[in-house]
Amino acid sequence: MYENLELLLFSATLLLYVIAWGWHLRGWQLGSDRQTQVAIWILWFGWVLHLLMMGLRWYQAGHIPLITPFEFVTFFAMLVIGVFLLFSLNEKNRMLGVFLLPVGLFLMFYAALLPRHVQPEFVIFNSLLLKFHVLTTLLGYAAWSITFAASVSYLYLERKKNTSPGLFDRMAYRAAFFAFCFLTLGIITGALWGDRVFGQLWFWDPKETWSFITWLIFLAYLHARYTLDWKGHRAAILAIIGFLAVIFTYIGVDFLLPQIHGTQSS
Amino acid sequence: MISAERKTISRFLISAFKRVFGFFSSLKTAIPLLVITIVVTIGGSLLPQPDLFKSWWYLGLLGLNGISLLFITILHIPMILERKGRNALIGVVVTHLGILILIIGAIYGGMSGFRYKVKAIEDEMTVIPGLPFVIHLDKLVVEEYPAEDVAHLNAEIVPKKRQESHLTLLKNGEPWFKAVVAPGVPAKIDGITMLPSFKDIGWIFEVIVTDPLGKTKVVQVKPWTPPIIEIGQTPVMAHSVMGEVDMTARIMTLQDNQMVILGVISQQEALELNDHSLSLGQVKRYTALAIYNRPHAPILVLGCLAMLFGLVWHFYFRHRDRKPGNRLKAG
Repeated sequence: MYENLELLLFSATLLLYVIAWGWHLRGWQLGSDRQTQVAIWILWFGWVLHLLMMGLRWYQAGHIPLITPFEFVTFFAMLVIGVFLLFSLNEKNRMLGVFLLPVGLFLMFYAALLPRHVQPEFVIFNSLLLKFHVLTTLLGYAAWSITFAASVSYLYLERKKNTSPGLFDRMAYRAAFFAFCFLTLGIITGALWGDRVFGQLWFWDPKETWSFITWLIFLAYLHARYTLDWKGHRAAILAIIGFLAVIFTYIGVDFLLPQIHGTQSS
Repeated sequence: MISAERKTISRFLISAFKRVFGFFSSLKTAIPLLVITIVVTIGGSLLPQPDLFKSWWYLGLLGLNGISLLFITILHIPMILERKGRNALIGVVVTHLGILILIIGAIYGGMSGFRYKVKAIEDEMTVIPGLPFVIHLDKLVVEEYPAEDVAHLNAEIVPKKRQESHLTLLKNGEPWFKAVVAPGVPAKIDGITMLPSFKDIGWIFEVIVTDPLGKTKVVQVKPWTPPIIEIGQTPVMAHSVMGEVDMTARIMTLQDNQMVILGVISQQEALELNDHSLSLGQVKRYTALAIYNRPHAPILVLGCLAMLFGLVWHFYFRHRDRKPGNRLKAG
């Protein structure tokens, strides 16, 4: 029964996100604040269903649902959409949704392809440190998704006349800082957990290596902005490269490179 | 004359140091170094080569990043003393110092401490030369997950539901310390950590071979060094299929470059082969145990804390004190 209810909630959430994005896109094209507002309400509704689905899964599994790839990806999508909803409280930020919602949608469609089985929490994964690692890493990636969407928004607006894309440039920078802090915390807590379970802090496992690469790209972005005074166009391109690294670390590595990460995966 | 020579050498050394310092403290060096590190790390992960990340040149590259970081940090210190809005710069320096401490900790870790990986067998002693104690594995308590819960997983990486190693450490032949360790639950004594593997766990067993004259020979089979047992003219190997339900071992031989199963033995059932009789003797569990000492761990923790503290400090003050003209321009 729970499985069916979960599938229903997942499908409804996905459908509402698709409708919200379409509506948002239309509102943006027409310059209609009213349509955009409707899109935001649909998105809120979808997000509440998403939250319910995660809650149901938590209840069903008996542990925080951050164990299987399906759970990681849906939680990541929930964070991305949730962060956008927070940003959308300020009307000036709403254009971000045009480029950020597709990230959430992409994650949801990817989650739809993953096995949805609930899995027992293995004793070695029953660790607060591990949960903190997953949460902070995903928060870091979600924050970088904001950097990405804000950078794409900037690149779009920069080509238009009579627009001031500076807001999105600053937003990208601030979100990048949070992304860097959270990813740093995520890598440190992951290493500490690995040490406790495997007796080794760092393995140069592909997932770890790519997290390190992503961290270095974030670091390069912050330094380029802070010390080389990169702004606008160049910084936006670097942010997009950083986002590609996030996607590769998060999804590409699982398919292309053998690893010890994902012990829980199927 | 000697004094003049000394002065020339001193001047040369100071000038060389200034050049090196200028080179490494410049962002024109730091940023390309960072980019090279990213590119090399990407290459290393996509074209996996054994021990690439432990190679001298990769570690050297990280070392150059460290030197650059150190010199940039030193360069920033006078700015902190001179500038307005220096709180944010203190954060930058503390973050850089944190990363430096991490690099120093990693290098120190590579040069100090020790790490052994041993197989501890139930009810047997494990002696590691140099350790002040001997390890006795009293018992290994193992409980598996129900098969249906883990059916979709790769069997090789499924952890156990319960995996407790009850250890007694002995000094001078006397029990000295008792500990129960499990994956994720190590024991630490006198700076030495003992941690069992969650993957490398299994069974060792005895094969009892009785020849046609009634003489028996006991061969201990350890999976990590399986012996070849001569049965008449046939060399065979034994492979355990132990489990809570099935306590058996397969007897195999090599035919046409392929392993062929000749039969199965258990404590109840013997296998007759070339007039010899093979049966299963005593069966025991074993677990791999990592024994290590890591004196650099506190340095790494300090580095992490400094880095995170510096980041938060910097971000807070940068946005609180931000005024035109206070931006940092280094390099």
